[in-house]
Amino acid sequence: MMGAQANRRDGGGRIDRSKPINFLFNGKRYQGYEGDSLASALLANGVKLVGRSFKYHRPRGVMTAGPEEPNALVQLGEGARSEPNLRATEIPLTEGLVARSQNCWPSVNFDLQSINNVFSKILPAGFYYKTFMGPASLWMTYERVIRRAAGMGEGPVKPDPDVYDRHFGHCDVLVVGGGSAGLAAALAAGRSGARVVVAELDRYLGGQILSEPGAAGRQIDGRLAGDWLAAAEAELDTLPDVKVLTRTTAFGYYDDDLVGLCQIEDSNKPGGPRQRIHYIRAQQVILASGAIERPLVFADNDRPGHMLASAARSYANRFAVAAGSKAVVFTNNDSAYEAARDLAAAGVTLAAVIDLRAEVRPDLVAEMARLGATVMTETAIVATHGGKGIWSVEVMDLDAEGTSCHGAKRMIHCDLLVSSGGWSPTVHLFSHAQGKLRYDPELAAFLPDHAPQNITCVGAANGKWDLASCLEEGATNGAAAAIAAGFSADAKAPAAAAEPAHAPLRVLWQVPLQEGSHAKRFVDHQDDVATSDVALAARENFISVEHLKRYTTLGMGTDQGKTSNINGLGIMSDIRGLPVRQVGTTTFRPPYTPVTMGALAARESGPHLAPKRRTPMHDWHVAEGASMVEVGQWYRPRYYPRAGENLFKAAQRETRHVREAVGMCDVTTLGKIDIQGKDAGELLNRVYINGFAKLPVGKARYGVMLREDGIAYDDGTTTRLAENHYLMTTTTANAGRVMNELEHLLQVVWPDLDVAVTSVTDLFASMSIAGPKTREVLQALDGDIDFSNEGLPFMGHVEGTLAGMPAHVFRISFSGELAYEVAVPSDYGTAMWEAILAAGKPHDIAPYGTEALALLRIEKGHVVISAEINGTTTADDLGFGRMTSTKKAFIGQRSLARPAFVETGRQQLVGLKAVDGASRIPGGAQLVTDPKQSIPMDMQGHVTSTCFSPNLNEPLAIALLADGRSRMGEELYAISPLHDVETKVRVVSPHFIDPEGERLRG
Amino acid sequence: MVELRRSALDGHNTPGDYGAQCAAGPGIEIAERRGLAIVQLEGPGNDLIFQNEVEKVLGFALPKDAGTSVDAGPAAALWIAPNRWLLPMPANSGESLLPKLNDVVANRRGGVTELGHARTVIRLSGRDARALLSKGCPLDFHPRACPPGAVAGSILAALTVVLHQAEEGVFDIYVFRSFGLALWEWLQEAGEEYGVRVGQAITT
Repeated sequence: MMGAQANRRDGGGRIDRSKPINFLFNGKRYQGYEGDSLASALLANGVKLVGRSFKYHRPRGVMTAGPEEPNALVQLGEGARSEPNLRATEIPLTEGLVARSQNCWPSVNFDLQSINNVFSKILPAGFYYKTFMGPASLWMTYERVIRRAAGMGEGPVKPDPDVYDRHFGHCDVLVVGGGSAGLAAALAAGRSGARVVVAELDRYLGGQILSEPGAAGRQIDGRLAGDWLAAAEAELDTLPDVKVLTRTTAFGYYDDDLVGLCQIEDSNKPGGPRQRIHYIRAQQVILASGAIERPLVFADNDRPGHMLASAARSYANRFAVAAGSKAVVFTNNDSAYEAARDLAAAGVTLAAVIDLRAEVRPDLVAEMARLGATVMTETAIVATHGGKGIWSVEVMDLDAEGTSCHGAKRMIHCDLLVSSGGWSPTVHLFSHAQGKLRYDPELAAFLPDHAPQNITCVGAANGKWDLASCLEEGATNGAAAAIAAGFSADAKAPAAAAEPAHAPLRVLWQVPLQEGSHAKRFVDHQDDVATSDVALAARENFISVEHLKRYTTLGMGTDQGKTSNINGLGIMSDIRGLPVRQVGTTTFRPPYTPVTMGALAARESGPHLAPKRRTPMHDWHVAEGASMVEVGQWYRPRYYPRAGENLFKAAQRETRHVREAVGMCDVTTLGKIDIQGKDAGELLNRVYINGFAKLPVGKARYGVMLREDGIAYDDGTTTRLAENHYLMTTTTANAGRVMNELEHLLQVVWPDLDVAVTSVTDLFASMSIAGPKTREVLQALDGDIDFSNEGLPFMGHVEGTLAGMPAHVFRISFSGELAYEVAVPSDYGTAMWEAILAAGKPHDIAPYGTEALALLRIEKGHVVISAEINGTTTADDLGFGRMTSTKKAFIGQRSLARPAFVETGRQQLVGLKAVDGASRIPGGAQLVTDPKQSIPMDMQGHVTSTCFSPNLNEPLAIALLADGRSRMGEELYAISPLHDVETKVRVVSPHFIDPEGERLRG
Repeated sequence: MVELRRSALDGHNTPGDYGAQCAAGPGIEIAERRGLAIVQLEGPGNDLIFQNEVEKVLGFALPKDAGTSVDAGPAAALWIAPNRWLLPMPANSGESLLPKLNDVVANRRGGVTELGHARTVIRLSGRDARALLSKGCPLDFHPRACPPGAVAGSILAALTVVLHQAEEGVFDIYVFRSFGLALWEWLQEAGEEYGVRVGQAITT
């Protein structure tokens, strides 16, 4: 049993030993300190095994100390707040944190599927594609099994209880990365007065400075780097236009220097978000995102206990954790010697330093010797041994070509193996910005070359490894960015001591295996892609890097190959015998690290998916118990249920009541457009199929609009309020579109017309009062409006005072009953609605909803948008042929002569009744002459609207039927295999009720 | 006399403090400006005679530049689009000015529409007003980019709005009345982390 935090050093590190933090990992209780990451706390407690690999379920441990982590993916939290696929290296340790390993069952220590490892030879790249090919119907089953086997965490199934938010930001200079280069840039730009945003994904600023070894570390401006960091942070804090965001990942770079940031806040303020997305529009972007170390690729290089040299250094210095007691350092470059030095300082025994190179800087060799370690040059690790940790490595001499090992095999015991294969600048965002990369064979890395946007890479992101260069580049480019944004800035850089130049690294993309070995050399640890898979892909001619990625999954997954892409390309270049730059690289695409859907959705989820649009009488409807329905963004009362009523019963009652007594409906949602100017009539003439210029003042007319292609588009009544003033109504659905269309026509097509249009949908509260007793109800209200047939005839309009309120009254009817529409300025809506209800009480007035409205219009044979005006019908199809003017030009007119519009066989609007007067006629049913004919049947039309008519007491339907108008009385079958219904129907006029219109004119 | 007018926010804007509380007081203050006449004027903005006639009627000149406004006591003129202005003013001045403005545009391409009932106007102020706007509107609200008097038509919380910085740090938001309550609710919810003070409706 490992003691509590047995690997924790006694002193040093950026942790607060006075603040112990308890947490639970895989059900076991541990303790860490304030300042720890979950990964560092696990390592402090000697937990090496943190997960199982994706395909072979091999044991895996923490490999890195940052966002590039391929192995240590955990499921964080429980229940509705649980989140999968988080990198333990990025999770700050907090009190009560609960996390568990992913991808292992039943537990990380005993994983049943690790049997896959035994059979790994039959599970090569493309295994799933090749094995589960057919039959297609079984893929759904295969997929379930494969998914469970892969097990990349679980999404929570309960609704997320947290709030997410969004922020649109603007700045002169955005600095991505708060390390030495980023801080130097932010200071230089910030001091100029420019607006600066610094985004740092860690919870602290500092980057690699955080991993400096305390008192023995580098100095900046004559003091310890850590002290300089504190001062820099304090100074940034005093600059009013500098904003520093920590735990904030710049995840994507988009057009016009728009950068997406995801900030993890975990706010516990009321209403405070868990995460916030910032969309930052920057004048200039400085990318100081550092570099990611590459692991070396060698036999069985995936055991827990193998980590990046820089990560081991980070754990030792920043977190005061010795990731092992006896370490082997394996490298192809100088940077790992710094890790070796710091590991030794942390009390780790250096078992050996194995360098692939033939020559190593003598000062490094001497220093290692002082620390008790032998530097073995031109040597390679050919095997590792271990289980859930590493026990030993075996080394052999390497030949000059790097293609084989020879000589005696030597075993070295260790419990920590750190490797370094060089560094890759983190140029992801530069790539997102369409920046082009260039391959530097010296550094064996892709460096930023040129970009079409205002982005500049500095420091390690630009291939500069030493502190002085990072500070210099940061300050110079930070100042330049501020100057480019219009400020005057000073480029003086903080000073750091020069460091010995790094000797060239030795490029060796894969360490050769010893003869006869079949060990796997892992390239992509997250996706279990080994060198053999890359070779297989090449053999099967998947040599393009894009194919390589998709075939082997190299570079896929949540880490997107941050530690593996370059190694994979290198191996492919070896296989193909081409330089890396000719092999190419895959394109980095957003996001840099995964972004949660919750953060992207921000507040627009659940009831806030779209803004709620309410009529002035909304609260009344809700208070009266109306069942509301969404119509676009509007909320409308669907029906007003009384005790014991369901939708059907309530709608039947409301419909009957309108025909027998009087009802009132909220029709505010219809679009209204105010049209003024001396050419207003001319505009209407051009957009409607029928004439409006000669409409008398005080009269309304029903009109139909066409699209350019002649198809019916929208309908409604338009009223002439005054000589040069009209009020148009549109359908609820098309209100915005018609308005835009009119604006477009007036601004672009007919700028010569003297017309001004304004949307006034929101100006009026409108209510339709309909039924035989309507006149009595309205006459009971105070006011100066004459509701008699003479005073206000059918299709008439007056403006006056009603119940003490200014009102427009229109004698129009959608229901076919005697009806008036009263429109008052919106603030009066509820008062007018209530006044009419009070006046109508003696006549038993009842409100009706959209469901009754639909029944009433079907009974009357009126068409509506979507059902009949459905994007395929012409005005003539709908029975408006005679309305279509031949005396004037209008939009869509010329298209009406198209052969398809004039030939016989077009589907025309008809009514249908069930021959037996009782069977239902399902919506969408197809009309056929013979229900027994074989498939494909001759379908002659279909049912567009249907209802059970409470007033005729039988089912009715409206349909579109080929040559329908000439087929009155014909019997057909309405068949709906979906409903398993076949009803014999008779073709009739769609005007089921009062075809002569006596009621509405009465 | 019974008050017949009800605004879109009636019953939803009880004054009080909501959300996060801090010693410095709420970071957000919101209140409805109600009962305004809001005249939309359309006319030939480059026509000097038109400008003069309008000025004579209003008693102040229209703003000439895009995105600006003229503050004239209880009334104001906001440039909202080429040849289009919004003139918020007390309801009684609206009544007397409408016929005169109609006369001015009568023989010109243009129009006059009183939209007082068609808009909900919310006055937003407080320490965190700019931060709150930035949650739902992609415009730049930094004082350098958005000085007092600035006007913009934009999107706020997915709604079409006209924003007017009436005075330093005080924003009047004009939104379609049917969305008035939706925006009010959004301001309250999105402002919760700063603390929200709902003020009495402003009737002047």
